[in-house]
Amino acid sequence: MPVRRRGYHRWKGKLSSARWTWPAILSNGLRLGMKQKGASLLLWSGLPIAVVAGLLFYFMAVLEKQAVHPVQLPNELRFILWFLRMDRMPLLDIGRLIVPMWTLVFARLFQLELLLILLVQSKFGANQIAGDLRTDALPIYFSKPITVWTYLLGKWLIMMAFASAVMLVPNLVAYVAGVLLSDTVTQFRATAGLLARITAHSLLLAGLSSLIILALSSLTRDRRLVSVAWFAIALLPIAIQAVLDDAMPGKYATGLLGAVSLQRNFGRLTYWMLDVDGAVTSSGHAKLFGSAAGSGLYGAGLGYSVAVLAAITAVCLLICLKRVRRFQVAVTNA
Amino acid sequence: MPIIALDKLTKRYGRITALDRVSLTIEPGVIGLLGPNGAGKSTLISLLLGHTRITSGSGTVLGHDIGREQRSIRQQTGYVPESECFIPGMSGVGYVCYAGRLAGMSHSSAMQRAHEMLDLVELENERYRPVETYSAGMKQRVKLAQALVHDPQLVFLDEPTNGMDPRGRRLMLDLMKDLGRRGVSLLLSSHLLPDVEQVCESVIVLGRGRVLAEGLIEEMRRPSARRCGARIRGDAERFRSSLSRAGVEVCGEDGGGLDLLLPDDGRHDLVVRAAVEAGVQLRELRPQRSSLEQVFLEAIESQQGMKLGQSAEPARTGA
Amino acid sequence: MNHVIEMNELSKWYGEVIGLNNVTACIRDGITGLLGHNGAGKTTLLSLATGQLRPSRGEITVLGERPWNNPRLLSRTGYCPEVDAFWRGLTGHQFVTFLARANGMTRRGALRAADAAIDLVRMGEDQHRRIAEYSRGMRQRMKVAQALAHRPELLVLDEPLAGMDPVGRAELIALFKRLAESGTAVIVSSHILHEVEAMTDNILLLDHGQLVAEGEVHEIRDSLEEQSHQVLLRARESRRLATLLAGKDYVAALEVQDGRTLILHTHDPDKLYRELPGILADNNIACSEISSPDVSLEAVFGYLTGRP
Repeated sequence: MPVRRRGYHRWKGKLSSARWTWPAILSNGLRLGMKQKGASLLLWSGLPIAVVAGLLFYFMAVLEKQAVHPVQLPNELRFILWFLRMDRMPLLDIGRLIVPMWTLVFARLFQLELLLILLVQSKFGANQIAGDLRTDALPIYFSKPITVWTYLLGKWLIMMAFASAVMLVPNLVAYVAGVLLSDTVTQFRATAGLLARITAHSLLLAGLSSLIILALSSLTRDRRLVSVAWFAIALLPIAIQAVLDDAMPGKYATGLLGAVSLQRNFGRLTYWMLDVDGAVTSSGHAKLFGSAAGSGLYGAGLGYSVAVLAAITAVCLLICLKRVRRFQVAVTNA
Repeated sequence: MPIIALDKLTKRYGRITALDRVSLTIEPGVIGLLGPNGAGKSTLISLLLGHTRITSGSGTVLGHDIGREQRSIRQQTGYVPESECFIPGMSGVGYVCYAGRLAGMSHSSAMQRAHEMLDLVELENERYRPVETYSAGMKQRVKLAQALVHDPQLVFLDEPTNGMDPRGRRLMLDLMKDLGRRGVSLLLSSHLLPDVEQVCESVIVLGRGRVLAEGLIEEMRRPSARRCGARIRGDAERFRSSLSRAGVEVCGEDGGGLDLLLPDDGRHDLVVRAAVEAGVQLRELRPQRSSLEQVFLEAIESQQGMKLGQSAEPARTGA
Repeated sequence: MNHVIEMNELSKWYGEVIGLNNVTACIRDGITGLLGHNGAGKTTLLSLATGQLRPSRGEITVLGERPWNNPRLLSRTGYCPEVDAFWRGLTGHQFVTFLARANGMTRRGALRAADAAIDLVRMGEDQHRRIAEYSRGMRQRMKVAQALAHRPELLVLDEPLAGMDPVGRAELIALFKRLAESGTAVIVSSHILHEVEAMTDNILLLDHGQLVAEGEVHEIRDSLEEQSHQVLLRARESRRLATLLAGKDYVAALEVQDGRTLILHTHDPDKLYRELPGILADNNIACSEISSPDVSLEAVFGYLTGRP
């Protein structure tokens, strides 16, 4: 063919027969998310926490050796022990205290990472569906062979990826650091269960928060509104709680807000998944861990928390489905 | 094999019947879909694309059932929506490539084909800029590109020349004609009848959820062998008397031109001779043919059962 | 007959960006089409005429007065803007009434005027429904109604037929023609050429802020002498006709298309049209069509803006 004909040419390629095209949505969403200003900074910010945790594990390994070869402790180590609420603890039998101590460290880590997730979900997640609603992208999406479920799955996985970067990854890094910095094999055997738990819990928290931010994002076209709503949902109950605690020290108010506060519910879940109680009990030094142990910090009712979070999941899913399907009505308006 | 076959397709929204037992068989080609607002054009396209569920009846697109094989349908069709739709945050190339991937193309195929389509719609360096910065005409063109990237067999276009200036409109119409020639079928829903006349071979007229007329444009326009229009420059009085002497009747006057009725089929030469006799310039001589607009208005009028100009717009939203 | 709008060296720029550049023209009674590409200055001109902007240079008078800061003049003009924006909670009737009152009518007068205007645009059935429920075409009609309600002497319409279906378009075009016949001056700005063609022959063509052409379409076409005119002839014996015409000095070029069609290019259309009937009659050639494809607005527009 010496000259290429002008105009439209047909295509002789094949279309993938895979039922799901969410990888396209996922990779596209990740690329767009990373293009945002400050994206890398926010995603890497989980690692300093992991580094600190790693150092803590190192100190604990030092303590363990101390138990065998006692030496006067330097002030820095005293401070760290105080931070971990372990300062009143006699330096004996460290070996049995490793798992509880690690558990507590990870519990703290989760608390800090929840704050990061707050920021990550707001930055990357607020615009996921809201942006599509604002630019009316849904008719384009649904003229392609995808279903509503594919679309939502793809969006959810985008947010899971970003959330995992600040929750799962630092936890794994801390864990690996801890294992490597001490007597690897025994540490690993002792804490393998913990590894499974923190992985599962990281994924659970990332997944739930992703679902919530997606639902919020599908409710409006304005991503700033989504961010505000997200922060409100996450922080308001805590703030109100603090005020009420001062004003009315009764348990009634506390209990009610405890029901809806995300932080409380996630916290209870953390404690349960990490089996803090179990860890503390198995150490045989329940008193040593004082108020840090047990479910006393978060009030009773794990079942309650699970129910609330399950309800939130269902509600968010329904919201997403309903809002995304709604474009079909808009399309048909003459 | 017909590209679309509908059997008593009905769609109701609550008490409003948007489509009422529509039965159609559409052969491959470039087809215009006409109708007043609220006639059911958008509903029909929605149903064919699987955006809404059928109330009753059935239909197939490219041989696939509308209700159950939506995925196959969407793999072989493209859609150019009326409103300004685009995926936020992406450049023109990125957008079209993404559209290809959503349709199931591999990344490299989608990328290559995206550039090819953007060449076709004449988006040069603009393709690297975010779609948010495009003008209305450019957004229309990029929408067409994303609809074609996976080489569909049938493309639905809803007001594709909306908001475009004359040059952009000409480009879109030429593209549509080219697509028709290359074997891609188009279903073009538009209010701009001259566009439809230029591009489509056949039309379907909808009104209040029913099919009012369908067929080839040429046949519907009924060229008349005895009527013609003429425009002259010169002594009009002399021309009129020459005409009446030749047996040509003046039926009316329309903005400088005369409506003429010839005594017999095809006797335009009588008009020519009358012009010679009267010594006038014959600047225009046209056979009278009803325009598509007339066909359309007549179809609507007959449905509404009254002369147009007495009724309000068929006032139904959500159609 | 007074000119409805007179512009003298009218210019407007926004910071550094030029809107209108040295436009001198006048708009008379009847319907005038205002044409141009997007960004050519149409909306700027209409904004200056309705007193929304002040000229940077030059002057403009509407109905004999300056439009800037002139509420009394505004009540003599009706403006139908391009934007599709309404107050959400109002019904169509309330919308028109409110704007009629804003134009200075009494409450009762406004109600009556609204009723009449809504009747003219044939929205009587839906006038008491909320605008949020209207289709695009219905909203357009309401916009036209509010522009008409106070019976202005001058009607300024910016893309009034956008998004309307052919039925609505035919009705509104008929309405504008009736208004023009009864004495209202109408200015219609549009970039859909065949709509303007259906309404009027009188146009004003803008390009890059400058006035490029003014007057009736065929006059403009005639004055484009450097562009050769195209004439289409349909005859069974097209080739014989071609031979006869090829020898004429006023025929610049000939094209035979598909056996029955002939396209001529000429620089002297008057001579061609005068001699053609004689040639046809003397040689017994049956011709069924004589037309000029490029007297269309689209062709003229293309020639003048250089971007066909």
